Amino acid sequence: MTTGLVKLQNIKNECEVDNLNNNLKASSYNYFIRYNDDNFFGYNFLYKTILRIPADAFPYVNQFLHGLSPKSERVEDNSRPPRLPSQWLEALRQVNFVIDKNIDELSLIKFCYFRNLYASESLSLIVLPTLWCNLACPYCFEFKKPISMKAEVEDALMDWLESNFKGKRDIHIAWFGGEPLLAKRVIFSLTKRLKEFCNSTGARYAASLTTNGYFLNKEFQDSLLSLNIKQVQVTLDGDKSGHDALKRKRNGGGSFDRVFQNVVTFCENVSDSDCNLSLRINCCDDNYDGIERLLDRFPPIVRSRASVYFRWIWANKASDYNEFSSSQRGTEPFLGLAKLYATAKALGWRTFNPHDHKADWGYCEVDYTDHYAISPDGSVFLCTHTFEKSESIGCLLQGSEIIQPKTTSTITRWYSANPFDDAACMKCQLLPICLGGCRKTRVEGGRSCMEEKESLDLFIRCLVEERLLPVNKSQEH
Amino acid sequence: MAMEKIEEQPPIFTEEAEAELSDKLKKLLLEVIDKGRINLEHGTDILSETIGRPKPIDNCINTVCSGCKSICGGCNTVCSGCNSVAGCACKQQQ
Repeated sequence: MTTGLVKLQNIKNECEVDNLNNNLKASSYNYFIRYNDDNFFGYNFLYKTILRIPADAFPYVNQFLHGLSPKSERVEDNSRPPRLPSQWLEALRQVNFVIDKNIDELSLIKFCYFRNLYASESLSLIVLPTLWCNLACPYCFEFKKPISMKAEVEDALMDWLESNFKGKRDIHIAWFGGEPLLAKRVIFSLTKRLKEFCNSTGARYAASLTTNGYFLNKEFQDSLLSLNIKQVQVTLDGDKSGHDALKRKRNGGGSFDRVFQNVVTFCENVSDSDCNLSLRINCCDDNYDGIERLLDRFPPIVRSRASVYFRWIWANKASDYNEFSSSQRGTEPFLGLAKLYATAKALGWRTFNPHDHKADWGYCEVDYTDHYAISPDGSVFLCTHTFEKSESIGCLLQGSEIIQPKTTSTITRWYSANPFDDAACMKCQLLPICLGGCRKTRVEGGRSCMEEKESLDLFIRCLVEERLLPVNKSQEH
Repeated sequence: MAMEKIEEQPPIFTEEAEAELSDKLKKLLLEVIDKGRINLEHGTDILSETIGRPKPIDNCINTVCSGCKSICGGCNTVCSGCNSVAGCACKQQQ
């Protein structure tokens, strides 16, 4: 009797599993890499999940997922999904590699994209206290001018906030430039007023700072907490010789030694819980070979405290479209960057790839309404790459009509541009993390694809290792 | 217009595969390294505050929540996985 009951129970369970499988499908955004002899890793571009699959199990998992795909996508029409151990299926469902058949993943992406784009609870401003810089990098995308924000512009900015943004739950300021620390007075003065404004409205206030690091001395570091600056990015252009060749002071001297010392002091002086520090390493043909020396030069406290990422220097209008990295970029641009990520990890650095770590649903901060860039003369822009007067959508010094009516179509075209009108983007597996790329490029009729697109195996390997690293570190201690 | 017939695919299981799975592979485990940013089992997850607001700060280092291994929802937000701020790598939650 007992045996019979058990058999009946098994049959019932198998039927339930069969019914379950009939209601499942494979996500369209799964991607697998063979990591080593023992393991495959799967990454899902939509859900950003990662699964480790033992190499011996992978053929079965792969066959299972393949069998769940629509018939039109299968290589062999007669392939059917094998039944997997229940714990495997549970893991595949936990990471959404296998999902309910009725989930429309494209509509899910669209929903999250537009919800993010039109969210209205926050105000995000990129404020340029000055358009001047103490350094003269030959690749800079900005047209530098020796102007700083005057008190009347600060007043107008605060009036604009009072009139339009009292209902915001969060206000974030990104201090940018020029070199923003050339105008520290503006940062201190505006922060005081912004914090008072947020206190009066109940909004939360936070700021970030992008700097060349030259004036990031201990005195300023000690002010970060009171300025609510939670994130600092310092840009380095390679090791000393490469950096000094590109980031030259206007009087001709190099800037590396002072920036290097400020970064070290920052890591010794500022608590990780008070402020993050990220180092952006600009890479080009002339400095590429020296970047390993740069990574090796920093002491362990910097490697464990700061995070590092790598980007190629790109040609732009302000620098007369000069190419700085064409040889090293080659036809597979991420290949050279991936080598640097691997080197950095081997040296004990924390690395991150901005394309993965942004958990929100936009390509960059401009994919968000109520995001504006404010130049020192009070001009209002939609993006930091549009600092020509003709691209301004308004001016803070124009009284009550800050945003000019004649720019309405510019604004609506800007926020209407999206990747879902682009057939190539709709088919692309990277859509959930690229989200159409640079909005300015798209508005101008182009499409900017991620450099990682040509090197997906390497990209996923980097992401997996970033996730595994904290685990490994904690195991070491 | 005729509705497209949804193909039913009763899963089948070859004897060889079954034997191999039973004897050898069932002992292997698939390991979830990161639960990611959307929990589809919670119907309200994509409608919650963790999507669309507030805006993570520039270059926010959204690493993994130490509590549930989901990606941090960004500065000032709770983790979309475990609804906790404890693991926020950005330390923006205060």
